[in-house]
Amino acid sequence: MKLERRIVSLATYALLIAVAAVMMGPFIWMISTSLKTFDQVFQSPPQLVPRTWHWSNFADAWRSAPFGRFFLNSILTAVAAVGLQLVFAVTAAYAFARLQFRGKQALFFLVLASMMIPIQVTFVPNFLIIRGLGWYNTYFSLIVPFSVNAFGIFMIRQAFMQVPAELEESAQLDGCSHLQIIRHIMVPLSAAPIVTFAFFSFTWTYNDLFWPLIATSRGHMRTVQVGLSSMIASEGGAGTRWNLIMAAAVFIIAPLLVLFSFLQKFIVKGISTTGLK
Amino acid sequence: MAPYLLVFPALFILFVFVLLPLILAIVFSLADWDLLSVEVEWVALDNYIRLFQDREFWQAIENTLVFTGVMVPVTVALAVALAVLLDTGVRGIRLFRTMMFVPYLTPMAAISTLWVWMFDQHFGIINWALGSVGWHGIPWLTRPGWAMAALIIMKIWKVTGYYAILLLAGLQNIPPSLLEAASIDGAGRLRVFLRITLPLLSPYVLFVVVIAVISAFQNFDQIYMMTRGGPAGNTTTIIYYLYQYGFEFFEVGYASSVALLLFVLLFALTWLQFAVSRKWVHYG
Repeated sequence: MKLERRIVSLATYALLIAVAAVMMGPFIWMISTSLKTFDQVFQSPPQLVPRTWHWSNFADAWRSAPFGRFFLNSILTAVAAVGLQLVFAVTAAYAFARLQFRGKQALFFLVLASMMIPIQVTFVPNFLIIRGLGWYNTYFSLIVPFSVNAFGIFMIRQAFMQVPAELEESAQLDGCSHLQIIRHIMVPLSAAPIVTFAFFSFTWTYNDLFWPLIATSRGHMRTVQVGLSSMIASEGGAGTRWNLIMAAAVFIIAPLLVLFSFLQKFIVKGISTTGLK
Repeated sequence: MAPYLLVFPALFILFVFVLLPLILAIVFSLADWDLLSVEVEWVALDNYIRLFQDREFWQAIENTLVFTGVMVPVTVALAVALAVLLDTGVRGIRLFRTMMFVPYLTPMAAISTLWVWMFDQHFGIINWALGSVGWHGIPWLTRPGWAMAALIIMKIWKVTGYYAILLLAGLQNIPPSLLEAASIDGAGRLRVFLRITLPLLSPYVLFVVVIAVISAFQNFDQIYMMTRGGPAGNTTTIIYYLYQYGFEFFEVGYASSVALLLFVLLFALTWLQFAVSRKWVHYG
């Protein structure tokens, strides 16, 4: 019996390590390539650990395009969009979860309906709307259309509905306003789902390529993802400097992984508590 | 008054940037309007007729269905297996769970460049590995068929871990007493899994299938970065076709009809999945 258990756990580890190798392997290869010289990149057989590490690739990649500006644009856009989403989602979610008002069902249905619309279906009209507003090539075009997220309203509403009513009632007796109840009761008690939503939303905005690609055309308004895509287009062909491109990919991915490692605890809890059923 | 003030900003922006655009798309789809000329001509259903007569559009539908039809079942099957593996309580399992998350989090655009490099015909690590077992010089990304396969393989790698984590939450909601009772009754592991675990997991599986199909239909960034719809239109899916007509040729009317068709198709597919699910999903 004991032997059988050991074999099972050994087999489990073997499988887990195999899966982890498949999941992580490409990242290791990315880092490995980013540290090679141009000649080492095309060496056969390929080397996993390059003999000498060329950290200068990162500086060269950074200088090959205005990545400083791209990062500023990406981070600013994502932070502003997520910040606005949280403010609007938390207030709307509170009203939908806790207050009674005429037309509530119909208005909530609007939220659900906008969750059903694939975002890209709106891109042609939104492109014309932002041009009509004079927002083409500005931060407004990158931020405002994404300043409300229907999914976020829905998710945070679910969390608010689970907050015990007694807490809210006693706060009302103490004379708290709606905004005070939101700030001091609802949000602190729903931290895990809110942080989870904020993290995912930040990731979606930071990672997006399609909208920034069409909503901007000038170099100084490009985000990191669009910047990387034009870096590849200009490299192209046989002499592609993969070491520099991989170095750029590394510094584009790194901020997300750092953020994730900080928020991991919340996110794991958020996924399990918001549930799917 | 207060409730309306609280919901107004959110609803106003949703209306302007989500619902109004849908209505505008319907209106535009009835017009012949390209952005380069100023003239707008109302053409009723001509755009839709042109759409259905365009062989490239039919190919885009076919490409989308091939991508989705291969990617979704394989991903879901792998994700279920992986979720079971991650449900074991071995030491260090947390670290493994975290690792599974990483491919999903990372930006599709940046990760696509990595896979273009790995799929490189002459110097890519994948062909080097396959070469050592006798498969030489596979033209990933440059030959129809192979390009589609490359996209599917990469997408499976990217999303399976995340879906497994979602399914894991489902597995952990199954009361252990049920599984214990079954094994005391003498049912083998496989039987317990097929008869008890899988039916109880089915609502989660349905959820994962639905979001996997949606994500397959909306898969733009990967195709833009890895193949640009090529070679020979072999990886031009509906979403990429929409991009070409909307933002390369600026045919507002025609692109709007494509967008609406995408919407209707996705809506119908999602509805169909829920309808069919009554036959296989058990709500405990």
